[in-house]
Amino acid sequence: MRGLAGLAALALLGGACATDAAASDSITLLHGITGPDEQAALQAAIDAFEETTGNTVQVEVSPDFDTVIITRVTGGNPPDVALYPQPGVLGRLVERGDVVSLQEAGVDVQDLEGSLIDGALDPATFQDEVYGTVVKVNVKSLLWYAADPLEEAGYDVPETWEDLREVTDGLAQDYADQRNAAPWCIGMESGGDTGWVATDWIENLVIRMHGPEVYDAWVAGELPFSSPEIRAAFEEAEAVWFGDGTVVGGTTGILLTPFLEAVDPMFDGPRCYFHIQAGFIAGLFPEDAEIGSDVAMTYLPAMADADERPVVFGGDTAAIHTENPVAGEFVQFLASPEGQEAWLAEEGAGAVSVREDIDTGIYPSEELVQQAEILNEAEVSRFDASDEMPGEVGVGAFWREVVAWLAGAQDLDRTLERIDAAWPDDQGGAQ
Amino acid sequence: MTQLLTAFTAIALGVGGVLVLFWGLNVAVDRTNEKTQDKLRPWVFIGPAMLVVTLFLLVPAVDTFRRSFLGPASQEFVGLANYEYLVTDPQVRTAIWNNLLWILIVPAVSVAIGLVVAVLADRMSETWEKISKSLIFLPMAISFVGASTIWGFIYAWRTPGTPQIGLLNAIWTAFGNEPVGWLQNFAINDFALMAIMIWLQTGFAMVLLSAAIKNVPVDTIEAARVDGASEIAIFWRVIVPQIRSTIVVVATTILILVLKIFDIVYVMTDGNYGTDVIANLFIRTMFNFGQFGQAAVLVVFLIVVTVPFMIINIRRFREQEAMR
Repeated sequence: MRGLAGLAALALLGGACATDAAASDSITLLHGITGPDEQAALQAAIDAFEETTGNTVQVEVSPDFDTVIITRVTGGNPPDVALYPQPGVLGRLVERGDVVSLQEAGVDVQDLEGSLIDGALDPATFQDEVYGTVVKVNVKSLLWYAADPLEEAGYDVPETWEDLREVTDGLAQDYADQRNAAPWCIGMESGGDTGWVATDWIENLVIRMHGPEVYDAWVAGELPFSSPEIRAAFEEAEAVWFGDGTVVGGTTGILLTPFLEAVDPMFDGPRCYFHIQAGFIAGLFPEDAEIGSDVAMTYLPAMADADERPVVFGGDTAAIHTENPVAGEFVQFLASPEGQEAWLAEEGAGAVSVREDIDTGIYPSEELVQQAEILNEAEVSRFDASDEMPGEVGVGAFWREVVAWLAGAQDLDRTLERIDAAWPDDQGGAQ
Repeated sequence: MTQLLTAFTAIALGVGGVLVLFWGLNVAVDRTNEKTQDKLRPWVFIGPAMLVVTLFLLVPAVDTFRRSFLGPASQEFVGLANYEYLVTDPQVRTAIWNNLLWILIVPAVSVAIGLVVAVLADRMSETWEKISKSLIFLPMAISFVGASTIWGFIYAWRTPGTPQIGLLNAIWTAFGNEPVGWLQNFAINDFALMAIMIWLQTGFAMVLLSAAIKNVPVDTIEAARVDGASEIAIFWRVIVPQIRSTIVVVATTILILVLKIFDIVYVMTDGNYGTDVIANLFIRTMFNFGQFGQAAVLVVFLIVVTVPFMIINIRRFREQEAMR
């Protein structure tokens, strides 16, 4: 049998690093944050936790987080804590009884409810039980624009969504005779994840046009994609995406331009003026680009008649998979002021706090301060709908069908119908 | 560093452990009387392999079959609901249709090109034959993912009016055309993906077919020439019948590979734009959607479809062995 054990060891080589030290003061943390700078920032928070409590955290990183977490959890070898970039898959694991609720893990849920931003617990709340919390925030309601060129072209920075549409039409006419320039830069190509950029657009439009109640019902699967409300949001996006000369490269350009390169034309001419993307895109600007003159960031405008400034955000959601008491302590710490400051004050974190009471002075860059202010000023904020919906829709049909629509394979009605059809019968989503 | 150390220790323990196991068992068998020895010895050497195959192949296969009758989380019995999904879901239909296209086109084209190259190379001088065959065989050494990355640059698209970095579009626009989204155009993309597989497999087909052609007895060809047969007639009537079994073996080998096609589609389009195939759909269903039941049923389908081809291949192989 020794030989077999050796063979088994060979077979396990791939995951050999997963040796269990199983001491009660040590926990394992699995996450999918692969950028070295972002990892270093998270490590700063982990170091702070280890210092204050004397516990140790063993970190495992997987670029293929979704695959690894499902295999580990269902295989009976879960990490103590995991950071979910797309918590949509959590619902299924909660249903299986593989997730420990925050209450049970000893986390003060009421305190979190009082101190975190609006919507931070939504993605991990199932049947009124909280199974996790967002621990860092990427603001997704940002509009990047070519500041000086826009002024030179004779336009003001749009204050409302309607303004933005008007400027779009004006610029489209100015550039009508140029094939490689347009008001908008949009790029959705992202390998196997192509289409997620579209979901950010739709989410921002749904909450701007119809408010948080409709948004929540939509996320929960109670309001179908084919409902008049959601359809209206798609039509608003359609007007830009399919517009005549509104996007560099047209719909083909949208689909085939890698999202990391999408904003490049803004620094070449410029060949485009507007771009919607989370804060990370600033890291991809050319080195000689002047922030504030070549490019600037502002709140993605709300509707003209809106009385609130809603914000959509994404971020990692921490969930606990074992009874290890340190796991609860760790999650509590990550969401605490000390944990947040240790993490987000780092240069590489590139995200803002999930807490309302963090001083914006801690952030290492002007853009992050501005993002934190946008988030703090928002009366309403909601977690990224597609990341929260069940996987079949959120990272499946929603991406795939919009891509097929942009590729000209189907019309809007059929697109919405097919997304609705993908919603799993047994899951009403997170509520 | 520690990871490397762990790796080497594991390899040493694994290989060493197997050697110790066989040696120990063999010694144990030697101690029994002669009659039992004869009966036991084959089991000692085949037994562990059978155990490993059962543990890592048969058990999971049976478990997959069991799960195909269970719900999304593999907890409750759902009857034939997953099989209903298999026959009714439009995504599954697209995937099956694409797999079918791949099966029909890729082995046929790979074998055809491989055969043509083998025949033509046979007539070159020895040096040129070596060079041309090596070049065509070269892609075989590239992994599917690597090949997809290379072809990603061939199919790349850039905004009209800006420099095209994709080889195909650079050529295409040089003639004054608009750049084409090769992978995004529903009429072309399936074939664009298949081209990668054909590029990879033609070399394999060529090498085996070339060896078979060289084995065709020269006197049969000369006899045909004496009888006044044209070169084309010689090819179809003399050479092809004599290498038919090799053609079938090569075609079925590529066919089984194509049935399991995954990497190329996953890397290039991930099944978008109507290019999905069963293996890719299975990965998404299992790991992105957490639908274990539906994922299991897709695998069961793939196994069921693959088995007949495996049987054909084994039969052919046996026939060929018998002929030697």
